[in-house]
Amino acid sequence: MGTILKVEKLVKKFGNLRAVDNVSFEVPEKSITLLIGPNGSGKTTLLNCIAGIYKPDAGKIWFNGKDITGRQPHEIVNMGIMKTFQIPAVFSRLSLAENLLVFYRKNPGEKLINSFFKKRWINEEKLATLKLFETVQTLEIESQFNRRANELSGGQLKLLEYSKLLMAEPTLCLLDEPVGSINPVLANKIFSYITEARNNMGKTFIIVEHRLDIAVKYVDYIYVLVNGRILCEGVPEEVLKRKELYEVYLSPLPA
Amino acid sequence: MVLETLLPLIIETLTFFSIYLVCSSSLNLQQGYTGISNLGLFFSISSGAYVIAALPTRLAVWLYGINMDFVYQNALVVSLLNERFAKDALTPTLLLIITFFAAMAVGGILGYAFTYLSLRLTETYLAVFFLCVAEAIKIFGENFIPLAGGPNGILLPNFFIWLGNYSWIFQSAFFIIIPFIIFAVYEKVTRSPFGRLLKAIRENELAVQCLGRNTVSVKLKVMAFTSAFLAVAGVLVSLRMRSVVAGTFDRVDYSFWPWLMVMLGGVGNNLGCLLGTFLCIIIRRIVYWLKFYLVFLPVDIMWLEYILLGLAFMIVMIYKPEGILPEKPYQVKQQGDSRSN
Ligand SMILES: Nc1ncnc2c1ncn2[C@@H]1O[C@H](COP(=O)(O)OP(=O)(O)OP(=O)(O)O)[C@@H](O)[C@H]1O
Ligand SMILES: [Mg+2]
Repeated sequence: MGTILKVEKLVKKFGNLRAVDNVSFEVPEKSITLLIGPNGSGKTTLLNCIAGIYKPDAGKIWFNGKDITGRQPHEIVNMGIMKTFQIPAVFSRLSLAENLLVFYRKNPGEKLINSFFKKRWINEEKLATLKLFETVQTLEIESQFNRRANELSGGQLKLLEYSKLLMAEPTLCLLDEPVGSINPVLANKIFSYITEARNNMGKTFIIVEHRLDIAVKYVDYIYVLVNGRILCEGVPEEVLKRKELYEVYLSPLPA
Repeated sequence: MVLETLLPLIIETLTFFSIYLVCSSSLNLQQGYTGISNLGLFFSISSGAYVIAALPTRLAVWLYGINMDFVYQNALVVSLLNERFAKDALTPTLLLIITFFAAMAVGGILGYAFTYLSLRLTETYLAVFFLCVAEAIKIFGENFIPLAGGPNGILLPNFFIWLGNYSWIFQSAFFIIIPFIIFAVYEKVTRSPFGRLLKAIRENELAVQCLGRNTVSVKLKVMAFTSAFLAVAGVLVSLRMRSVVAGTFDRVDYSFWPWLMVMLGGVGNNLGCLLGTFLCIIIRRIVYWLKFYLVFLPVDIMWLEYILLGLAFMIVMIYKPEGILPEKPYQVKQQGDSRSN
């Protein structure tokens, strides 16, 4: 299996704060990697650097062997990396359906010239709509799809955020707390979809998640980030046995 | 008899309305759909006026071999040109077509350029930037005489004079049809996936970027596209007045009024924008007629329009911030359904 993403000595500073401090790691193709760590340890910042939202202060990022350090977010998405946001970044005054149709990426009607000629985009629009229905059924939000996004509940917003990946189908998915505030049954379901997407479509995932009880069952490899540095790493069984993890992140083991 | 006096009035109001419809619906596309707060709308409109002031008449003078300066001997040249245009249908028509295309090109390029300069700014800063640029260029227009006659402005020849007695009907039709074509174009554009993308950019630009769209290029396109049509509105205004005075393209008439029209009717909704424009034009007309009966008021009647404008803004902001016809999210009815409206 090849390496899909390689991060080398990445640094991101906010003033004096080194939010990401000399982080290096590699992600193999078709894997599910979990990124954990206390609040403010730099997990979101790290994902934002990969997605191009922040420009790193130092270090390099390679995707499929190509240097993508400092590229614009839209360029990075079009190469196949997409990130979902910890705080859902959706379009509040648009309906859920419209949101999903914007998440769909291949619509030729989004070109100004094509927008005059319905026959240039109507077919793709139909495909997008089919996909939209598939997605809302999968995520069990079909009853909501004509409501405005700002009328949705917190959990429904999270699902809407996650649906970006289903509509846009990137190769490498960066998920920032995909199942925070989602009920356990659906959360498990989302993780099984992730596993399925990995197995059947060869997608790669990097997931930030605090709900280890759910996440750990599904992931291949774990990185623990503390104060912007990688504290330890390994397969789930090993990492969960490490003493330092209990000191900085999980509640202390009962004596 | 009643019809004879009323008809010109109705047509006059209708042309006024139509030209304003271009201004307000362009603003709606910029501000209501894409979220680009453009307080400098009057700049784009005036760019069209400068083109018709500076280009076609000079061309005509040159074509007919008139050995006079169009700006400094303005009145004389205009009367000479009117004589020529009365006997020659081809030249004024061609000049007019050239003017429209030139105005669209100039408006589009300037819209693109100033948006490009302001890409890093958002919301209020952007609005103020556009306002400042527009004011600066207005001052330039008011003082640079070769462009549009400076402070005194410039008279334009009558490009429709060859139509004889019916020229005013033809002109009015022209002033009404062109704006409605532009409105139809906007309607077509906003009902497409492109329109949906614009609304998404308005709601959350970063999120759209993170979905793989180059929002900067989309915004530049929108500004170039709408500025081109705003320049057409400027040409129409000038043709209607048959003169260009840089000072008349000011922020009250050509920025604040369109803003009120959009806000009153419904932000992000073309039909609402049409309604808002209509209401504002009617209000302005009524105030205009009432002028002569309101001499007892303690204010100069000239300021009454401004006072009403401010008042209307406040009332809309407090009671109807979304406008009379608020934007409706698009409804998907059943599986396989798609935008067919
Ligand atoms: N845009 C920003 N400007 C300044 N400081 C920031 C910015 N974004 C993050 N930080 C700081 O960087 C540090 C890391 O933040 P980050 O969001 O990456 O944490 P996190 O690991 O995702 O935490 P959580 O688990 O709470 O989501 C924090 O101390 C935060 O205050
Ligand atoms: Mg975070």
